[in-house]
Amino acid sequence: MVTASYQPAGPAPEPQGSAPEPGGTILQTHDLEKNYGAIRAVAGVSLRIARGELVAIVGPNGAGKTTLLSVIAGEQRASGGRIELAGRDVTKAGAARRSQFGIARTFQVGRAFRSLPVRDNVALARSVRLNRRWRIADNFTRDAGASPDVTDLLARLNLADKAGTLAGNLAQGDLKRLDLAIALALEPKVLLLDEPTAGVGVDEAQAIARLVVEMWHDSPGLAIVFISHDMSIVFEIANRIIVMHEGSVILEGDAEQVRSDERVRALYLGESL
Amino acid sequence: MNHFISTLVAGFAEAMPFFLVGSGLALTLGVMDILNFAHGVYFMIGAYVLHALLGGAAVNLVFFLLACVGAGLATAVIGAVSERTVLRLTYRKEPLIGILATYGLFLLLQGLVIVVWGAAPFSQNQSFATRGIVTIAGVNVARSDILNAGVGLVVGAALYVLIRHSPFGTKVRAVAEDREMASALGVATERVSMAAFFIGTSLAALAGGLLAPQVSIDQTLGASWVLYAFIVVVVGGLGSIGGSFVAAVILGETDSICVSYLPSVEPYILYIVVVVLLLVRPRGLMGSLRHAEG
Amino acid sequence: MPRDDSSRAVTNGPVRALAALARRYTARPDQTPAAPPAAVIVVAGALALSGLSNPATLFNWYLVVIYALFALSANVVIGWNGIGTFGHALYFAAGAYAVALLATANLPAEVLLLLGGAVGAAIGLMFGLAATRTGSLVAMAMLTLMFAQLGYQIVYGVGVFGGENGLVGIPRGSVFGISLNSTTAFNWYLMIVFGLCWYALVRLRRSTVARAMLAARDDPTRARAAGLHVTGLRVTGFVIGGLFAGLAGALYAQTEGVIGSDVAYWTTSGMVLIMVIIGGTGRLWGPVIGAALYTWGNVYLLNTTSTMDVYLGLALLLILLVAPRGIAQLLTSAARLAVSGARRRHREAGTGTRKGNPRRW
Repeated sequence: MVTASYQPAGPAPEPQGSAPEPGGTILQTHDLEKNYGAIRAVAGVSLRIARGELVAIVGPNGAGKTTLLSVIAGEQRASGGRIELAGRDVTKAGAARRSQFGIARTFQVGRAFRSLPVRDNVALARSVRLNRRWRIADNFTRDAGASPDVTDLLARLNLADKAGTLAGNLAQGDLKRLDLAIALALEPKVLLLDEPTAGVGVDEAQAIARLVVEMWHDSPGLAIVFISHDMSIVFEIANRIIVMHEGSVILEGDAEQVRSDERVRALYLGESL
Repeated sequence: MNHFISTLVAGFAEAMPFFLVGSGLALTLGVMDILNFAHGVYFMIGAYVLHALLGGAAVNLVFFLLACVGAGLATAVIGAVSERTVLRLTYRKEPLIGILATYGLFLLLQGLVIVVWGAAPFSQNQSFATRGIVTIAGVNVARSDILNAGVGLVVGAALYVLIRHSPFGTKVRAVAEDREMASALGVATERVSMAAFFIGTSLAALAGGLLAPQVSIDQTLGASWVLYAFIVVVVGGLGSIGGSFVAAVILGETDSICVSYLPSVEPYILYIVVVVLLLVRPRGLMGSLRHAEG
Repeated sequence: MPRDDSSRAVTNGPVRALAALARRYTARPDQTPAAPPAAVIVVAGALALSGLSNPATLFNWYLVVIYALFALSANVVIGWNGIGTFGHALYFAAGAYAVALLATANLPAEVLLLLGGAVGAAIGLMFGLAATRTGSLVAMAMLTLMFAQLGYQIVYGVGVFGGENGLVGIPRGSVFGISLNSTTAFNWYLMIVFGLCWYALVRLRRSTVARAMLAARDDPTRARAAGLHVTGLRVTGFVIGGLFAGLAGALYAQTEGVIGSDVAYWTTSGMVLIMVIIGGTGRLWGPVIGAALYTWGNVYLLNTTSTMDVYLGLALLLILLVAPRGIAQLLTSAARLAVSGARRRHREAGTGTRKGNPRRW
């Protein structure tokens, strides 16, 4: 898949996962726009993400990456264009409905439900995935909280020993993992990660990157789109890289193509690739 | 026809104290991002202080205006002290705690008013120049209304100049827009906030002083005027001073017209207007979206 | 190592049993049966009320029970949903006026009660749908205030409600044929209604819906991204809060026999807000404590000073600064410290060794 000619600082992550399932477009945007007054944060972006892809979105600060993610996730409303998930037009759907349709996301600064214990955070998301209707007098701890899926997920994300800790008391690294766990509990078709390795130490960043690849490996068909400034990780794990600048996509390709592109070099002048 | 114009003039005059109180709250809200429940109490304290200064006696207009200014400043000092001590401590906590803290302040100040001045209401006489009604071109206008309208316009104009065309005003707008950015650009956000708070409080108190001769000065004023301040700010758009002006005028005129022509509807009309408007346009007439997210 | 059996003997038997029971209740609090404590509340409460001979004292305790239910209902919106509502009194008033207006219809008390609850829930739904059109907490606080004041104006102005003086002569009626004019019967009625509501709220608090509300309160954006319909949850909170507030209002009308428009003024919403915050939003018994403190504080202070507001304001500010989760938080923390301190001493006593002086808090 992606051959890394750049040597990572720590141990290399697991070999990249399965090839994308043939012919399956899971997420598509058509001329997506997001304007803030006169500012075109996202200026006509058309993307196609196939099932099982692991795509990175890179670009300098202010390129519109996070805004793009936000609009695809439904947190912000698009100013123009269309978004299709598994063929269904979700442009008008709110964030909650999109989550139920199969989009999940994490946040740049790990976000979770502070007053609830780690376990409850994940169990709640799991409960959303499993039940469309909640009975008003059910018992959360017994019904959703005891689910083995939740225990499993916590274990895989190294949060098992913190299951009872309130999310508000977690360190940033654990918070990012919890954020990821919540997203994964939704069993999404498309997982959007906003800077999954930012804001934590080098070891933690490598660990999270490894984790992401593992989860991707274990979930056939799961497409992951992640934003990152860490080019080493991007080149290691991404099938495809999308480069954005000032709201538009200027290049899509694999690591070699991106690395050798003149425009990208100019953009990242001074940054070691 | 003359009656109609008379109603409009009265409505405008009624609107001006709404504007003063509302713009004060808008200023505070815009700059400090707190919804100050105690704001209505400043109006009340303004009225009480004015009464304390004049002893309820009728005086000439100059003294009256001076007393109003004095009441405004004195109350602003009280406001500043309360902000420094009480509200300051709630800033770093969640917004709900902030709102509740200002409610606690409201109760505290309201209670202190009763402790200082007692529970019996006071009355303040009109100054000599603002008594009675004058007839201009066939239209009846209360003299006190002329005063209120005049003061409102002058203050409004001064605020406009201050906010739009002065360095201080630019800083205020910067802090209201994006506090962190303003701070990063070197604006002394602390000082700006304090100053804005001071101005906002004195505006409310000034209104209280102006209206002292027209209301019964008692401890229920705080609760009522909190309501009016909120109505004006919510209709005009949170944090928008221009919006407060427009909202106040709309509300004042609506009320006045109802008093003259639809008296049975009058008690409800303000709230109906507010509710309908908010359902149609939750961010108010000229408010920014910033306050609508969450 | 020789063991000191005499000190151990003290901690055997009943203490151990109690400790075991406490451990069971605190280890998995969500799974313990909710009915027994509710039953205990009903029986203990009714017996305690019936033991009071002074009618004034009895009356004040009636108010405590009613306000406790009122505060519990407000906690659903303020605590579980994190919405600072200043309009909660309107559902209470609606329930009370519903009962008052139907006074001549000779309906059984329990029917009137349920009608009060239904009216409260309906108005809660209206409020909820309107107030949640905006996402901003600040705007919601003000919107709820506005709606409530509109309600107040209607209650004050429209003739059928009796204006400022309100309506009088509301009978207590009878429940399943038993007349509530007898004090004992009324005591049991009040406590049974409260007990049932308490049970319902305990079950609700343990539900997934409530957890989702807490999550939406903590981080609405993350909640939406996790598939939670934040607006729907908030509206549900308003409806549930309205329902129980309506029930409380109905009880109030049946207890007092009169109802005036001041109940609908926004400051009554402020009152219940204070009860909830001072008592504490984290535990169900927090608002109950808040209601008790407020009611008895009111009685006591009314006799000594002419202004309660200063104390209320100070108390509120103090709580917000020192213990934002309220008195319930203080008590829980104290209890935890006491338990862990006792455990440590038990451990040290049991092994016959002393690891130096236990830390003094």
